Amino acid sequence: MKLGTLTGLATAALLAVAGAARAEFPEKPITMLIGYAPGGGTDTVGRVLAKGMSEALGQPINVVNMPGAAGGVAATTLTAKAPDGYTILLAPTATITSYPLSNEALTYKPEDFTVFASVADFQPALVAPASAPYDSFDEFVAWAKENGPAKYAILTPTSRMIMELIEQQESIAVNYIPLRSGGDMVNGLMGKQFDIAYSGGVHQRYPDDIKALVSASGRKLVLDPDVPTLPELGYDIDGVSSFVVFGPAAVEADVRARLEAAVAEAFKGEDVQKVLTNTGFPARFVGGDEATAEMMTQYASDKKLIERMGAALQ
Amino acid sequence: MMTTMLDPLLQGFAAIGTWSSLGWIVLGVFIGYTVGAIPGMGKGIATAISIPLTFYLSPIAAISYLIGIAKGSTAGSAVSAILINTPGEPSSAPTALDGYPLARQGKAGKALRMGLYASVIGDLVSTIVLIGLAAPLARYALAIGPVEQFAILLFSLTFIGALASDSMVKGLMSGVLGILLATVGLEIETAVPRFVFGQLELYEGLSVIPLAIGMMATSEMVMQISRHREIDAQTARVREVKVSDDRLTLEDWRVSGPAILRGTGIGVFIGILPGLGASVASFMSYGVTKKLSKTPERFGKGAIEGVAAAESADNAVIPASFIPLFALGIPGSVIAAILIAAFMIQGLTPGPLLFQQDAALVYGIYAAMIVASLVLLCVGLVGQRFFSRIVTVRVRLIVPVVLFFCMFGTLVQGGSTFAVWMMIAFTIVGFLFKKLGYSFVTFLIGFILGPSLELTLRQSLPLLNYDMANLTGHPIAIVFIALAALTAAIVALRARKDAAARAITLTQTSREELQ
Repeated sequence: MKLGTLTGLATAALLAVAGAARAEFPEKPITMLIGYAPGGGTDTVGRVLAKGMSEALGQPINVVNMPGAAGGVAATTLTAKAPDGYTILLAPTATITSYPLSNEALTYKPEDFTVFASVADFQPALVAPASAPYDSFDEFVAWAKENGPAKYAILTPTSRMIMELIEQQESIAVNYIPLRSGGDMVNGLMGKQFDIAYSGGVHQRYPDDIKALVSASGRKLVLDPDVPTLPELGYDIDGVSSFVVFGPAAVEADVRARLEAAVAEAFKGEDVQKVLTNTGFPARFVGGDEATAEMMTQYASDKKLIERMGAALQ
Repeated sequence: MMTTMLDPLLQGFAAIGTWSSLGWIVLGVFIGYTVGAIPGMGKGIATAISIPLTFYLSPIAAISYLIGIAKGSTAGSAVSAILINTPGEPSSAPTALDGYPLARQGKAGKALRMGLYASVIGDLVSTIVLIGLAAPLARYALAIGPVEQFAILLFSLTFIGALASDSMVKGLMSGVLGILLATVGLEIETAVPRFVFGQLELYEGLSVIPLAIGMMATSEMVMQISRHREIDAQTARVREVKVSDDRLTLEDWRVSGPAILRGTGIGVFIGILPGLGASVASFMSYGVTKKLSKTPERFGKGAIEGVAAAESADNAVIPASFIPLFALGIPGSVIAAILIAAFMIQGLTPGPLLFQQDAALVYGIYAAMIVASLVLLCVGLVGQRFFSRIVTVRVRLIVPVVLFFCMFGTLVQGGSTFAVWMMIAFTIVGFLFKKLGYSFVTFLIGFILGPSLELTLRQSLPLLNYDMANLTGHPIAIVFIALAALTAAIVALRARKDAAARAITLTQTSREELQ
């Protein structure tokens, strides 16, 4: 009897251990969502990152491109998934913090996501053709007053708002030209179709043809440290966006730690470093807690921008 | 000049002259051709599934492999268009217009071979243009901004719309319906959702793949199953056709030669311009060939030069769309965008610097592209031996297989079952279109070009500062707008003449009746 109880206990203990071992994350392939079509900057970074993470975790990671609403469709899809770590998303911070503010169809909030880590920063800037008659943003403003309306190429709702604020502050006239992709932006600048454009960082690949006038965030451009930032020029606009790996809200702590570690390991890998160097997005690893804090700061800043725009329109 | 060009190219051939490089080119072309030949699957899916594989290859092998896929699938999509009237991609739709009638007459082999030769010639010539003129041409292409693109699109739409349909009213109706459906989704400038009915999947707009597969492939299958006895009887006759009738004759070459040259020229021109794409080129080439033909009434009933015109233009677009990529680092097509990612992963930045920093690699890729053209010829000729037997298979065996691939392709490319439902909905629309004699060709062209037309118009207005007078700074745009107006005028005059002719006949009949 006693022996039976003992054996029973031992078996139970063994089963418990086995159960715990079986529950070791990840035990099946992971899906990484990317909110853009294949071929862009986010897609390229996502694919190499997925490869590195997959090696660190010992499970394949399937990359699924889900374009729509500037990444909003993929982000909305993620919020509907179970927070088990098997569905993750690589997206710019702005997809989560900024776009829902200007698009009523996107109902998610930063709290609906778990941040595992971020790996690199966008390098947003207002840029112009190298041949343009102005070399700084102040000179551009003076030029626009003389020769306006300036032709300004935009990619995102944020890029429009930034210029609308400047337009009011400087009383210059601007015509907004909506574009589909960074490629169209580069094409148009090289063909001198636009006077100025918003770039998320893609302009850095064409230093001979495109010049940066001002960093469109509170941070200096890593490759162009002499170019001033918008706050430095007296515009109350701050915004940074990073490449962030997200999960749905409330992912368990151990799964979260495992994924953060996987991103960290992939980040150190040669492939990720090579792609980040080539795309000109400065590599900067930020762990989950700190990256969450950065996202919330960004959210507050984006909200402020929207409120000021709303106030200005009324 | 010639030697400075040829020397590095010869070294390029030496660089890819290894078994592994050649192996990857052959594999790429083979996979592309096969996937392209399966209805419902196209280059999008073939390249997407291949990208992870290229992580593990050397730069030259990876890029050659992807280019092989692009070339192979573009040529391969003619196979299903000709054999079962279900183009693998919209750009092969004009191929089916004459290819399928030829196949039903027992001349599938002839149509397939002409399609392949036209593809290879278009591809090879376009590749040579890329090698020789990439840098100078790309600079000119930059002068084509949104205003010029809008004018060219307007002209393409008018021209294709005027030619693609027998009844102008029905053609216009389908075209406008296509444009209307293309407005679904987030509006480009202010991100206002249009016709989305709260469905998040619709925010990106109706995706072209399920729509095209539904309109072209699955609805055709429904049509075929509804008259399978008739088709099977035809098939039995097809088996009895003499082999000699199925060969390409000198006469075929005589009528197709000019069509191929023209198609290649149109394909190269459209390919260099960003944002227009292979569909515009193949429809335009088909239209021009029909227009210039002394016997336009043969078109749609098995005119071999129709196949040649469409396929040469379709394939010539691919290498030409790499011109802005190689010369400036700007992607001219979806395939080029995917290639940029492949370059990046391999640590290379496409653009003018690449020629200075890594000239050997660029010429290696050029050499690989020429080799891929020749491989395409071989793979195509071998593949056709197997594929052409499909014509003799009974309808009830073909239909389930095609439907399966269409479902599968839609699911994989659309990423959700929503795309499959959409495909089914458009199967019904396509079936009704065919039954009622509405042109799905103008519908599709409207749908594909509609968003670009709207976008470039929205871009042109602020660029011109909302003043028509500023058009004077865009002479190229003026030329194309004038051409579009001319086309519309000719069509309207022709329609009035037809109506007048009909009225005269009517009056005559009524007079006879009175007497």
